[in-house]
Amino acid sequence: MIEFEGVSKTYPDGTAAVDGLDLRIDSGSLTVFVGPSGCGKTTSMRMINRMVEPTAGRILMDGQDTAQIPTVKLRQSMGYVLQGAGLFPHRTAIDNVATTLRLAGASKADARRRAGDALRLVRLRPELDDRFPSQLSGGQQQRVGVARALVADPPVLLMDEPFSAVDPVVRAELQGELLRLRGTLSQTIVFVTHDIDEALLLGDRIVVFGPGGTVHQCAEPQTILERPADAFVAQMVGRDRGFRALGFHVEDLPVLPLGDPGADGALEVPGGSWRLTVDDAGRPLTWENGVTRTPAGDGHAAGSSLRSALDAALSSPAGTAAVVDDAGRVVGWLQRSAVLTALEAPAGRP
Amino acid sequence: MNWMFANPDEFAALFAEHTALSLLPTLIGLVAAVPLGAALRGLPRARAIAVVVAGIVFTIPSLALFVVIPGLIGTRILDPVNVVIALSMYSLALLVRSVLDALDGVPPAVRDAARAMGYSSLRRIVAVDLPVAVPVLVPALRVVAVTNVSLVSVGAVIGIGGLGRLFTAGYQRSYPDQIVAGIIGTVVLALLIDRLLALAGWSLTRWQRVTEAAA
Amino acid sequence: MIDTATVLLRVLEHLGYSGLALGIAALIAVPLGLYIGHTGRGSWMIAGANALRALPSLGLMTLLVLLIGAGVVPPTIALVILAVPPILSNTAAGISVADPAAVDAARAMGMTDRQLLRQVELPIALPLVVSGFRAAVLQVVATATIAAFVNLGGIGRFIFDGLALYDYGRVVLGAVLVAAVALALDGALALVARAVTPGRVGRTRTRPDSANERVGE
Repeated sequence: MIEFEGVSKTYPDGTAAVDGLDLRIDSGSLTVFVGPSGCGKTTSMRMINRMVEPTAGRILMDGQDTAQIPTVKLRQSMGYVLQGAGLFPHRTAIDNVATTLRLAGASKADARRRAGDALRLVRLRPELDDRFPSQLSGGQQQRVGVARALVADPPVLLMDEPFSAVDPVVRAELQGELLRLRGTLSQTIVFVTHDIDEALLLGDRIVVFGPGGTVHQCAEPQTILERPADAFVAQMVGRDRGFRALGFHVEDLPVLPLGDPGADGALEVPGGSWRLTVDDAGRPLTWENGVTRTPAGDGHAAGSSLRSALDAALSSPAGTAAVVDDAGRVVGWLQRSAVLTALEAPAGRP
Repeated sequence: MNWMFANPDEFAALFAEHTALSLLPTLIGLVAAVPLGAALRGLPRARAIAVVVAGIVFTIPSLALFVVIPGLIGTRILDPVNVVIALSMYSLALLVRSVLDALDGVPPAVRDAARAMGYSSLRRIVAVDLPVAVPVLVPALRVVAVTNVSLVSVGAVIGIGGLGRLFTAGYQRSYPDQIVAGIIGTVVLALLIDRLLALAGWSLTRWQRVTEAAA
Repeated sequence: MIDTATVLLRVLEHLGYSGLALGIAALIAVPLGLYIGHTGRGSWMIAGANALRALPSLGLMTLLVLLIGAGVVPPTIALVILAVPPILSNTAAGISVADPAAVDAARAMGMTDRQLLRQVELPIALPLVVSGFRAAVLQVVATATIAAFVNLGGIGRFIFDGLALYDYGRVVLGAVLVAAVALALDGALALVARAVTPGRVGRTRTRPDSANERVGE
């Protein structure tokens, strides 16, 4: 557990980067610091491993004041992932990762072996191990950066806008990777971003920072969306707040069974002229009604959120969404009216 | 040319002396400039002063230094130490600025990552900053080394100067052949040192030359 | 002993040798540098000029005296060869680093090559050209002392005469004079460099403690 107790950072010219921060970060959680530029979110994170020294207050790590822990030891107990990775340009991918262990005193062979394991964990292809950073794409560099931070299995992982320097497609891929890794990791993660959507996607808890280094709200993503503490947070969250909040609701929706497929394998949508063609694996391809054809999306994954259900129902020209299983195969139908009924009867929603 | 073939031993001795007189100050300058530059990075005020002083040192003509140093430190005017000290000062003045530039060029994210991993300052400078700075440092070192080769020969007018002594001797005896031998020797030495340093830099920066993006 | 008139004469002689060599060097190196930087062709000339730096001035000068006789020509040639490389490489570099966007914009406005060079590239390159010239001035002024070795004048006279007469005071006078002239010229050129730097403003202020710390974000 990491605790901020009245932590401030004021620069000699009087600028307050962080002002009287009180915060508890539970062990094993993923806490996102989010806010606009210059709001002190990165400074706050960097005070955890004392890359920045607080000017007031203290930070406790499992009850121990971090100011009492030798800097080098403190930093070695925390993985740090930077924006743009910050890889050592003169070392290969695997040696970058091994550096962390070598610093902690591991033998060269042992360090390289464990570095290789860490690179497999972040799914870097083995043939890239001996490349220099300049030979890797931005996404690959960031994977190496994450492996370098994780290889020594530190109890805390600090991530400073780790995915903001890569293009949106790779960013989505890396975000997915982080969510996947969380299943296998026990780290307490502090993640800094200016992107509220990234915060809502990844965080267990979100800390919204505002200008002057003050915290406006500290809550679960759903609460941030549904009950923003003030106008600043509401504006930060932006448009479509209500719709996006549906992403945190799962309702038991009535799914209609599939009929027998036609001769061409296409599925008849109940109560209409529409048919849905599917590929060999049974995944949706196109909506057809003899007049027009529209590409079908992925459909609504069974058991996923009300947001996904509503989106699938609204975007289907047939007015009926395809329900798919974990493999993406169509397993049933969901009628738009059923989704709207679920929205009408709010179970615990505001 | 005839002189060179007629007096191979003397030529070789002068060549060796010239090599020592030019390499020694280069080495001293480098060894002093690296820690000095690294230390100055953290001291903005001292750094500003050092840069100005380095600029002034560089404006002092070498011949002036060669002849003034004995008066300052009490060596004999014909002592090769004068030349070594003077050229070491130039080398340091030039290199300390390059070391500062080179260390400034280390990407902040790289330095940040090293700090966050728990590198101590000294260890970080040796293991991360300097290797990353090599591409900026080596060209400066080449300029310094080649300049030193050329400046050593000026020392000949005060009696020390390796191959430069062939210029003074050849001039006094009106014997162009001897001067040509000196010029050839100096140029060959300068190019040789330059190539060797370039090669050393090349072998230290393999990481910089691999640029093709991975699929 | 040495009177003020002698000192003044030697200094003027020194400035004369230096100025002559620098003028000739600039006439050769600046147009050549403009051509190389503007067209991107002939960069081998810069490499060649840099190799000239390895030529020892003293050797060249004494050799030329023996070959073509005493006079101002041998030291001038030696000094020109010293001054060309820094001016040439800085001029070419200055022109070729001119912001491609600015050059593109100028071409889009319909500028001819000549207009482009004079109105855009040259003003942008000027600070680098001046700094190349400064480097050349320092080297030439320092090296012009050796002209006295082949029985010419200049400040080097004090040094060589002092050495011959075991008059250490005279040697020091020469040394101090050369250093003073070099410093004065370098200071003057530093002012020129500031004047020709376009849109110069005071250094952007940074937080005093930000040397090793990234501030905020």
